[in-house]
Amino acid sequence: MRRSTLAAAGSVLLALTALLSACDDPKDGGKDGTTENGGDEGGDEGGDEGGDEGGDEGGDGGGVFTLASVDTVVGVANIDDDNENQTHDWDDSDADDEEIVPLGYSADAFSELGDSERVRVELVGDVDQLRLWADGAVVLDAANTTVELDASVDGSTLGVEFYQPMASGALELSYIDIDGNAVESVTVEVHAAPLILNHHMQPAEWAVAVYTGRGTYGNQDFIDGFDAVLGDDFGTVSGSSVSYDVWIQDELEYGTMTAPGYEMQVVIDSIRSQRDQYLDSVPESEMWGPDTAVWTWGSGAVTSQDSFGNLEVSPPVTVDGVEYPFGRVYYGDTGRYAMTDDMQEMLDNQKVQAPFTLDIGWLCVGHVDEFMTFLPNPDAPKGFTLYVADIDVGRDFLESLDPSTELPLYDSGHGVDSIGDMLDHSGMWTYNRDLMDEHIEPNIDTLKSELGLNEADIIRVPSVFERSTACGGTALSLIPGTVNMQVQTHADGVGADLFIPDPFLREDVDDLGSDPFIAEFEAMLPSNLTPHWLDDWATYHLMWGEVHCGSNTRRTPVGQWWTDATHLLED
Amino acid sequence: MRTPLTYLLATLSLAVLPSTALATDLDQLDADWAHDVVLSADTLAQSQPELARVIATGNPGLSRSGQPIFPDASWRVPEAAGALLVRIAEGGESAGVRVGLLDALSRTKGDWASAVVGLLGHESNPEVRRMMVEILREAPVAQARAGITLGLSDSDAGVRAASVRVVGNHIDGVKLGDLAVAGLLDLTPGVRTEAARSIGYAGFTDGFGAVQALLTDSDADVRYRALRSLQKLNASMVAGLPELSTLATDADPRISREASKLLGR
Repeated sequence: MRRSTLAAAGSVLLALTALLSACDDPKDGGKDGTTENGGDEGGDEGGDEGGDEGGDEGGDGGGVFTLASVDTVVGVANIDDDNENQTHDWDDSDADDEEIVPLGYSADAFSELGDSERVRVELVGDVDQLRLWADGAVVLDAANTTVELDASVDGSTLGVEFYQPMASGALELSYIDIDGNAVESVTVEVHAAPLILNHHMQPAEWAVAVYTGRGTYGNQDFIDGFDAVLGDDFGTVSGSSVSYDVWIQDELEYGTMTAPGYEMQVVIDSIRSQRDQYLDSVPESEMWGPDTAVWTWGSGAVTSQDSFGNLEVSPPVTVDGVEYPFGRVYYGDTGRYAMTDDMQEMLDNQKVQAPFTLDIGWLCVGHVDEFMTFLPNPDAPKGFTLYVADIDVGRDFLESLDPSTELPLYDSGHGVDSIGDMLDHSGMWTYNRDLMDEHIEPNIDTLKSELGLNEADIIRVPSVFERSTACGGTALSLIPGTVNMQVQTHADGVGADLFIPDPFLREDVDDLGSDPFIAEFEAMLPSNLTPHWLDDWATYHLMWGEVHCGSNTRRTPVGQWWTDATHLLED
Repeated sequence: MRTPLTYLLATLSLAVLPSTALATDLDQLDADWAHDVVLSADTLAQSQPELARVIATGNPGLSRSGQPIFPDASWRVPEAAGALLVRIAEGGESAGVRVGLLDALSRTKGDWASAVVGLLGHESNPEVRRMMVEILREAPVAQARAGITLGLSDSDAGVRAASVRVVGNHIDGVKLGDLAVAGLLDLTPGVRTEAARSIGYAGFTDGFGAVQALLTDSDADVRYRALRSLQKLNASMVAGLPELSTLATDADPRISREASKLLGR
């Protein structure tokens, strides 16, 4: 288990607030009224500081046993694979598993119980997703929700295990006296961490792409571009091992689960590919392991909206006075199709990132990453800027260029041979006008409303879409989608390397410096961002995707949801 | 995916055998375009056997949404059209692959339009027929007109919608506007919607009255698209339309918002 620096190592004690004591029944000669306990205050003070009844009875001169406890135990779902046997640890965990969260009792906490005294523990709540361990075995789960512990139990072995993020419930501990009466009780709330998806303000740890070599579908230059900047912080998946499925953004979504002293990376494995075809097995075979969980939500019929280029997160925002310190999740919905219900339900259940949807029915592929992204910007009012595709800005930009400029790649790829040719197609521009009026601007309005943004938080990026033939007339990027980039944020959460699709809006395809689009966009970037233009034309752009679609990034979790987001967890 | 045997046969047929062995279906058709296709493919096999081979046997990549696509730039030359048409006409591959081949065909700038219109009448798969019609946006007006006309009588609504969409996407769409007007009467709302949209995109002002009639259509998408399209045809005339006051209270918020805006409310 990687220990987080967010809290004291091993600490699970959020608030030591309950300190109840209970007295031995005077008839219990075995205890002889001399029971020492784990809670000196309770025994000595006769309950003045804690449970009144217990204290009072203690005052009667009997022995004292104390149920010292914590209010709440927080942990992470035990779905990583510590022993790397391709099985979720929940399904083969042992008592030494580091995701089992100690209740905090000392080894001899129960040793003062008399022969006939017990501590009854009842599990309530999501009992199918919670377990209590004691003395190396599961003592409470869905099948057995009540257990009685005696003096022989090693208190330090009591620990809670969670199966799913946001699993919650309680342990109700009752001290049972010699007559079988529940004399005192204490409740310990147990709560699994939410699964929090990453946003672009979080430091990037590692990026990955599928390597397809050279040739028609080759992406050597693309891979080299990442490798030159990121070095060891970049890895590849062999294209031949995944049937040259390059869309690794769509296959998996990185997130994290954290708790005091616990930090687990989570890879959500999309249902887009199944039965070990294409990239399906990569999350399990190459990412799953100690401290990295893999899980799939949903099954059955798949749409393009199940791909995770259609699932993104805003930076932290405050909306109408409500703080979202982990940002807000957004994903696309066509009106007819959205991601699988199980996935939507899971996202809703995490609460802290309050999901909302955007209209992507106008896009051929139908993913939110096709027309917008967020970039860190320390000079911006909120510390970030939304970069969004804009047709009008695109038209104005193109009109500022020499119409005779030839576009060799566009001639082959899109049947457009010059800037002038691109500008001349009135039907295409009328179509783009509709996209802006009917879809992009309404989406911007939604983003303003849901994220509390205003125009000062937005930069509009020159864009043009073409109307697809193979996709029922919906939109594909004509100029490679600039906003469809990979953002590798630095450890400071401010600086970032941007891997951006080369627009090739120039005559000499080998001369980046001559590209007016590159100059235009770089002028839109704050100084904390470093652009790197990647050739994604043949392997990605002509296949309806861009750099972001063909890469993915693991990030470092930031913030403490158990202190910063409790207001979002309240019902 | 083709087996090595068929790969070999395809290679041999293109390189060695007479053109009659290329595509039985094409050879059985008594049409100039079919003969032209076979001749074109045969010529490529003689002059550029490697290109002919890869066109006959190449595997597609998968687009981001799973559509097979052939992005090889070497195919995007006029002389590749015949070989692509032969492979499409063979019909032995999945509809998705054949759609991908049609996409590649449309990017060759070759002389393929008459053949596609001809094949359209023989194609049984509606997905392939839809794509055959869709790519006619790149065809000369005469062939586009022939294909759209054929497509408008198709039993599949998707093909009919693609047919009227060609009008809006064609560089000379205004010359095809009358065909989109015919689509305004289609029983399927999606076709009427696309027809209204295309008339606006093409700037076919003669269609104003026909589109105006759809402002009272029972389908909200059709009403909305008609209203949007009319603004493209004659914005000032739309502002005075009597239907606007009713549309301003339409249950569909897109329509009521648009109509209210036109009324200056």
